[in-house]
Amino acid sequence: MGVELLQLRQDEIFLRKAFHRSLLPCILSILSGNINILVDGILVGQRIGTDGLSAISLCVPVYLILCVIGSFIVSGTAIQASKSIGRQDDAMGQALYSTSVWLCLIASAVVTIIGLASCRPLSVALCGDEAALVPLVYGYASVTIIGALPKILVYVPFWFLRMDGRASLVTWMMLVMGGGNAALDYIFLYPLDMGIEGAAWASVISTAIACTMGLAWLSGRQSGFHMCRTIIRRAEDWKAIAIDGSPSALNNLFQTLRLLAVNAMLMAAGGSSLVAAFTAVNCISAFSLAVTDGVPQAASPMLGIYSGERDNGSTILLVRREWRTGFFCSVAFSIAIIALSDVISSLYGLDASLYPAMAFLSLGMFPGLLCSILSVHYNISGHAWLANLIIFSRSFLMAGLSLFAALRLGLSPWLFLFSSEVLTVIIWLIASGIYHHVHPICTRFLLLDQSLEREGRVLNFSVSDSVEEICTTSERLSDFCSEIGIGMKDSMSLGLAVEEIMTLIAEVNGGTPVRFDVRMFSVHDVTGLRIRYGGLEFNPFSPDHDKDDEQYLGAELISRIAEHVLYQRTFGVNTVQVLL
Amino acid sequence: MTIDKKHDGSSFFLTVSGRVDTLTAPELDKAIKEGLGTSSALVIDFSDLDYISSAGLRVLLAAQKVMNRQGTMTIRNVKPAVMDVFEVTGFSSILTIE
Repeated sequence: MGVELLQLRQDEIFLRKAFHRSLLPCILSILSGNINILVDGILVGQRIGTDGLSAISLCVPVYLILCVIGSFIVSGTAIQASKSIGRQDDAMGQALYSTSVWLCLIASAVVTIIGLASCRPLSVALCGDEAALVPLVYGYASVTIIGALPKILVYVPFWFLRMDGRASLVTWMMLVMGGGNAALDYIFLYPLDMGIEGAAWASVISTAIACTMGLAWLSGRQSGFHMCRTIIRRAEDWKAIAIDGSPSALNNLFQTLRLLAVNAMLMAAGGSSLVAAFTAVNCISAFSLAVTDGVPQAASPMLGIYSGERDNGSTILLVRREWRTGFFCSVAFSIAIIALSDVISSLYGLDASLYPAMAFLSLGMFPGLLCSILSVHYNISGHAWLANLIIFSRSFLMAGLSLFAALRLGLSPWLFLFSSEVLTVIIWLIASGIYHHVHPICTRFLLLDQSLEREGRVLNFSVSDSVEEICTTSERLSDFCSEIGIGMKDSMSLGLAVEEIMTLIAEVNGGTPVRFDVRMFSVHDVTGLRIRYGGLEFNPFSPDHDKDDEQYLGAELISRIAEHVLYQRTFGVNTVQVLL
Repeated sequence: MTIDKKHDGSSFFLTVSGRVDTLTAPELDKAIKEGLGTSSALVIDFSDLDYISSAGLRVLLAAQKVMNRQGTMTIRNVKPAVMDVFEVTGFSSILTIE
């Protein structure tokens, strides 16, 4: 039994393909957003001058509120939706989608009304001693507040299109947002000479266009999400949304607070030249987020579904894949920025070399990648407290403490780019170690509940589409099920399900290779199979199939044997579940 | 899967052991076609058959159609798990099962 069981094993071929398919769009999305910020700054600085740049910088808290609200609402609902889909609760997934749209609409209306009513005193407060900047700040802030709706609502297509397996459409959205912003900036600032308000309108309009595109794609027939009348009502569901949304919102908050704190410390230590250098470093750091944030972002929809299924095997494989791919990308990025450090320095008109900064930024990418992967995983897997701890530590606490210590000790200030990440990894090791000690049923590092695996009544394995491998797997699965105490009838039914479903799918895909990831489970009196596969969008149990067609005899057999058969298409792959 | 073949006058006897699935069904189909000839009776013994899938059902259906023209086909000693498959698919009313 042991030797045969070894051959029923899961590999990463299937999930690696699905992950890489969504990775490039995520990286490109973040890159295009950063290029947008870069171009924005250049055009405003050139046309309006440093006052314009300062005004935009002072309006960061206004922009931050919109980002925090949008990310809080939508990341919370989207993560819950992906878990619901993993539990085959499609109705709940649709309700969460509808809830996120309605909440964004309501929040936008509230923010716009309150924001516009208090814009004047807010602008004065933001300017502090710089009274001369109040008109510019008021102009930019008021337009930004008017544009609250697209700026909050854009998070909906950003999250839900990725969950729908259409991450490439998110890339198009970001390109339109970035490219549109740059183009409109030029038109509004130069020919139309609209001043700072023009820059704000460029941002609002380009975001509105991108948001409209994204929502139109989500409303199309191809979309797996549709507005429905049901919205979330239960208190425990709202609590779950708030918990899942908190890391994303806190990340936005702490990143901005870090920026303000670091700017203040560097100004005090080295004056405007050091702050100017940090502006350049921060811009490059934002580009590095394309890797350190893009990698876990690409994996997050799949992680949510695996979490809903309590599929620890797939989760572990995916997290390992994130690390390997992210490590490779980080090496490539690090080589590039170190090699180009002098070029970057001259582009920003800096006298000092940026080599130390780029070197520390590069070194910090690796622990930073680990922290980012872990925080997304913990957020999704029900350990939001640890995700928030990691975010608070790396985004704010350790960054501030590291920089403070470096300045005090006369070390390079750029050391904080590396030490803050390393210190956060240490904090993570301690916190996760304590949790594991208190809850030994959980794995040491990812804190995955292993109770199902320890009962021995779940099994993950991967199968190619060769008839020989399918039939051999079918036989071994039946044997395995009998040996763990599943009845003869159910054991044979599971073996039949594997053979009938997979051979039909392989046949329908007509020679194009298809890979299957299978999870067999027998838990709490429920025995069944979940089969995930790529290839054509195909439901073996569709009522549209001709039941008299001999090709569908096997599928008909399974649908009659099983208590329930379910089909879903999620993150661009097919999922069939058979419950006996 | 193993197949034992025996001819007795105008009857053709097959004893099938193991599994009839997508991989092994063509072998059963070939054994039936090659051995059937002009036999007027086909008897298949499933006493050692543990598993049959739709691929096997299609082979039996094809054999039944042939024997409807030239004689009789009987299936014997079907195990409960295999009988379940026949019943669920309605093959228990198409085939003669003893």
